[in-house]
Amino acid sequence: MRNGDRNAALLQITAGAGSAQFDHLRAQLGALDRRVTTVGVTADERASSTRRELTYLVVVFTVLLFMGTLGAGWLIRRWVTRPIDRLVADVRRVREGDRDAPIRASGPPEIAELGADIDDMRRLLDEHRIDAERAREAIEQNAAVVLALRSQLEPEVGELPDGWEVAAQLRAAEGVAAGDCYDIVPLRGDLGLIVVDIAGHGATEGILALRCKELLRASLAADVAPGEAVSAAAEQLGQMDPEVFLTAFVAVVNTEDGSIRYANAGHPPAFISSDDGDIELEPTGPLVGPFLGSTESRWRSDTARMQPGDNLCAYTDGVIEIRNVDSEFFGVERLRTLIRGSRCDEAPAIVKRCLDEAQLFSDGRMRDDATIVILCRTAFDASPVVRSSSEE
Amino acid sequence: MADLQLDLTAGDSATLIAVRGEIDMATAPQLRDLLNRVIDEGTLRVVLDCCELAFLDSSGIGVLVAARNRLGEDGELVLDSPQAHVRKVLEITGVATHLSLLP
Repeated sequence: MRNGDRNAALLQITAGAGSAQFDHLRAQLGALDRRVTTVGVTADERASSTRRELTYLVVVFTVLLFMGTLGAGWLIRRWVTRPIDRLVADVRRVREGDRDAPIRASGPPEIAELGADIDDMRRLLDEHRIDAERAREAIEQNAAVVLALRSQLEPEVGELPDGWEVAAQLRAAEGVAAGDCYDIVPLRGDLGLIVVDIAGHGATEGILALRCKELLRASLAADVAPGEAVSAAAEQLGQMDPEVFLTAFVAVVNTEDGSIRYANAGHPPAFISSDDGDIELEPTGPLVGPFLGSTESRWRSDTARMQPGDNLCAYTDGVIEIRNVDSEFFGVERLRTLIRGSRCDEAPAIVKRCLDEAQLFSDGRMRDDATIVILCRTAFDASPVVRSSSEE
Repeated sequence: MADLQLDLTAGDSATLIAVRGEIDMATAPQLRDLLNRVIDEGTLRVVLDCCELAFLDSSGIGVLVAARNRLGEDGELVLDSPQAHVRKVLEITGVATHLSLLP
């Protein structure tokens, strides 16, 4: 029939087969419709159920999330915020001056560890503070001693006889205490002149310099010759540390005739600046120090004379070892030239000029203590000239 | 700060130390440490080659004196070829007579 077989179709219509088939088809369609309806209803019911479950889940999740957030907040506050607040409060109490207030190490391990570290630091700082306070108190106590020491290292120069002027100055490399010292000692018409330089600079060296100076001064006051005075001082000072030694220039000047007896213990030669040139007062013995066989060391006294118009300059090596920015030394020649060019000046002005020039020359750093003593013979004196002869 | 360079050469009869630069308060400990080490090892004759030693101050003199004393009477501290100004410092201080100075 589908192939257009009309006769076969008519035969079937006539036999009622088509009606039966149609009824059968309609019955099948009805069954299909019922089935579809059933399936649709089932699907709707399932969708509704799923929606309800989903809504329930969302509500439960939201409630749980809310409770979880509250719980986490509570835990963070308990374990983190509060310990940090406590830490901040403790640190602030210390900062405000309650240095004994402990820093509590509480809370989670990291914050407890931080608190413990801060507390250790507080204790350490407190110990350092106590040390610093003790050191400050010691400095306050020692300052007076050091200043007294300095005043003894660089004493006031008293009145001199007419025709004589003396001036001296010591510039310490560090602070006020120095390893240099000098003294001008009136000696029943004579004038004692002492310059001592201890290797090194500072309070310890200053004390040794002072001891040496007092020993020399006592010997000169007892009319002991300069060379013997150095020997006596060396003996009295005894054994010093292996690298500690001193150099000294000791002179006794007769203010009547300008004659000088001097000893030079390994010290840079003092010199007399005169019209005829400079006369060096050379070493008369070694430095005073821990030499092998030092008991055999002897210091002799030599003599010289100052004429009217002459200047005597005694200095320590700190003066001539001052350097400029090119590492060039100030040197003894510059010092001599300065003294020669200052022969009409008064002694204080000469000292000041020499040290100012040296300072100006320097690279701004004093490596060693620097001392200059200038003795001027200003009045006319017709005494015969005797220069630098040995007095064994 | 001044520089000091010390080069050590150990020999059979003596230890030679070439000294270059300056010996002052800052560098003297370098020389002291080396001399102490050499002397502690039993050297009796130490020769310092000083031809390139530019400066020697009282700190350096202290180190030389101490080293000379450590060497004892059987030992010898030789300063070879010191420059004129170094030699003069040693002579003024009287240290030269306790050391052996070579020209």
